[in-house]
Amino acid sequence: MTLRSYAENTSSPSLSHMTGASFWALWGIVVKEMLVWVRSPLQVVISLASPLVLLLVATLLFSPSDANRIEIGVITPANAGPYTQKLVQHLTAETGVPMYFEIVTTDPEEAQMLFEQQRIFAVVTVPPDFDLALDQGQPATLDFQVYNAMGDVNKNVQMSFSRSLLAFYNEALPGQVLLQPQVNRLLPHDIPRSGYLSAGILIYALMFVGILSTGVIMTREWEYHTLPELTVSPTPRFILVLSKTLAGLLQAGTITAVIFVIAYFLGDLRPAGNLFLIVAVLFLVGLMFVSFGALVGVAAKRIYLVMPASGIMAIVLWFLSGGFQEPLAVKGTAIFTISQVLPPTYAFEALHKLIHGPSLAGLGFDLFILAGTAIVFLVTATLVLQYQIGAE
Amino acid sequence: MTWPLVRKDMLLWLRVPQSIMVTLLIPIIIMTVAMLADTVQQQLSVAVVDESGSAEVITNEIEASPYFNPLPATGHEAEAWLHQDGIVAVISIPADYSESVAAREPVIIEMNIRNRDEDLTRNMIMRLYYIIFKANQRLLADIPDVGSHLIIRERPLLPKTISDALYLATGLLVFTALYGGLANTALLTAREWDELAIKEVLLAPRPYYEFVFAKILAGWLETVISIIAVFFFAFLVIELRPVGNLWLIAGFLLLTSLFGAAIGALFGCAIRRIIPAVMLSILISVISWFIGGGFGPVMFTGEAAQQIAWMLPPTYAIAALQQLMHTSRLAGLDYYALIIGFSTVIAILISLFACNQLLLRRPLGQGKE
Repeated sequence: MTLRSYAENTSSPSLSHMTGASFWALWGIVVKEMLVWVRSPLQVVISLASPLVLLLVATLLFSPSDANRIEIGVITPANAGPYTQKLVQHLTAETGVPMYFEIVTTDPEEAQMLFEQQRIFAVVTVPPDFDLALDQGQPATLDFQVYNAMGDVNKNVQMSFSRSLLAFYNEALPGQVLLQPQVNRLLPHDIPRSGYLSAGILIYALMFVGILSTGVIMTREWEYHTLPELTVSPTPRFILVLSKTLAGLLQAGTITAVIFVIAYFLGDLRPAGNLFLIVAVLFLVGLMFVSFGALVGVAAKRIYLVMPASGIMAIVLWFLSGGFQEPLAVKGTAIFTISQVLPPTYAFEALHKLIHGPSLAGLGFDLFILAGTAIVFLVTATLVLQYQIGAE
Repeated sequence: MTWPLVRKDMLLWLRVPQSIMVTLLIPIIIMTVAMLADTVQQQLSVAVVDESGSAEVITNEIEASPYFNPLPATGHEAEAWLHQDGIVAVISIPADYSESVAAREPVIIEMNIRNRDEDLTRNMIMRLYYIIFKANQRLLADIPDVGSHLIIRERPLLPKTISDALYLATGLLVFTALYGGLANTALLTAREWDELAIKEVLLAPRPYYEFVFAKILAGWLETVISIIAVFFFAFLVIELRPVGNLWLIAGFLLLTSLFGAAIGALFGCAIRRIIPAVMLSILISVISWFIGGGFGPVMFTGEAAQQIAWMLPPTYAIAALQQLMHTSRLAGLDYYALIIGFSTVIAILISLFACNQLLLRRPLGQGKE
């Protein structure tokens, strides 16, 4: 009797076969996978390190902070008059939201050298006749050299420069201010950047660890040549896949809980919504990713393929789906269109609604997408496993 | 022993296309995402409510700006979009705009902003300042005998601003070199333990450092192929066109990949398991890329992050490549080359010595013996 025919005679993928024996088989597999995981401290450390490092790096590098300065050089004439002094004062003012300028040199030669070495972002040169021209009601020219080696940085420098000049106009030339900005905020307080990123990193943890753990659990059957034992087991295929995804879910859930505690104490993660609802959403999100991990595992059949795949998918999906920035910010663009067809977008949406508000509108639709996707992945993983066993 | 081992590892690598994809996939996917992100030119969606119907100076400025994706709307529509998470902000121009400008009275341009993300909020506020300043300058320029005002003479460093996609693509070449070197070498070194072949390798009557050197060489050669593939992808798809000397670019990439390969061999020898060794390689290379200026210039980060960044050799490789890719300037490259070259030599020596010691003390530990 071949392995395939034996497997066909002894097992059925039907859910109706989930008897008490199936339940104990499911429980046994979950316990075994959890024990294997706990006994692989390196895998646990890596699972924890990835979201933790992302949390620290993203918070450190991409949070607007008073510590972040745009370093520039400002060259003023020797006999600087009141207009020049006011201009310099506004260039270095720390009012409003960061980014602020920091003048690192006023020496023309040093400024030019630092600028050419790309060590400062810009050089503002005030001409000698600056005060005289403004005093006499004439236009005065400001020379602005800008480091434009990256679009995003160039934008930040330009915007900070515009704000400083607008402030200068308001104080020194109020008659020339024809437009005045006024900002009203929808929420009473801004959600801190670290709080926004922390919420997204909970999803990242579920995504990365969910895909990695379940993928590794599935591929291990091929890597350790234990698939034949599995295929002759009378346990239905669906129960096999379900038990492995549950083990993956427990692993991903454990790591996410640790990240949650760290983000709560070290970051600004302060859930405003119902905690039970948040846990329920995280459970659903986790189920979706571990189901996907099971599919990746049975399709790849090799651990070394699952590892980079989980890393790549998690980081790319985190970027595209709203972990780094709300997709709404790029509405009307290709990125927004892509984000709308990616199920993780609805995971980020649901969690941000629950944690930060302002309303829960559309939460039902988000949950429907997440649950539907989880079921599709789970069923597909079972079918692929069935196919792979048949092909052995 | 060196060449047969290198040949065996290269053949194994080439016979499994998936293993080639392992090093190619991450940089190519990030480049593709960067390219997609670049198409939006950092435009944020805002509703523009012009109650005056005559504020073309402002609406044209918003339309022409690379920083906004303006959606004309009525006040009610804009409010509804904002509350339904349809847009980030609403910019409102009052009905008495024309009269106020004619009378040289300041007009309040209001922005209602959805402040769920601090960074986005900050960005929107700064963009509003930018637009207001530009529009104000435009209005002043149209007034005869306007009197005292500022004229800005802007002089960018480069003739054309480097797009985010090109900046990221340049950093990703260094990432490919570092990650490829680390992951490829870690994988093929750890594989000897994971696939139970280490006994046969160590029984060969050759010193252990030859085994380590062969692994470094094989991992490095694999990485060179990956770098060439990623470079062609960037050349064809992202339109990355090197301005500086091609030989120097190649030199920096080769040194970086050799540096990565030396550390990768050490990871492989020390960890002796494919999964953790490769995962550690991914982690190290992603962090080095982020901190080292791959995602944005180092000087844009906080002081502590800058200090850490300049202690890491990949930071110098990224700085050198950004300079070589987008300018023809050579100043400072000798210093960068010295740092990377010295780090590579040290990494190789440490790797050879440490791996040799590890193999002597515990030749079969860790893996499945």
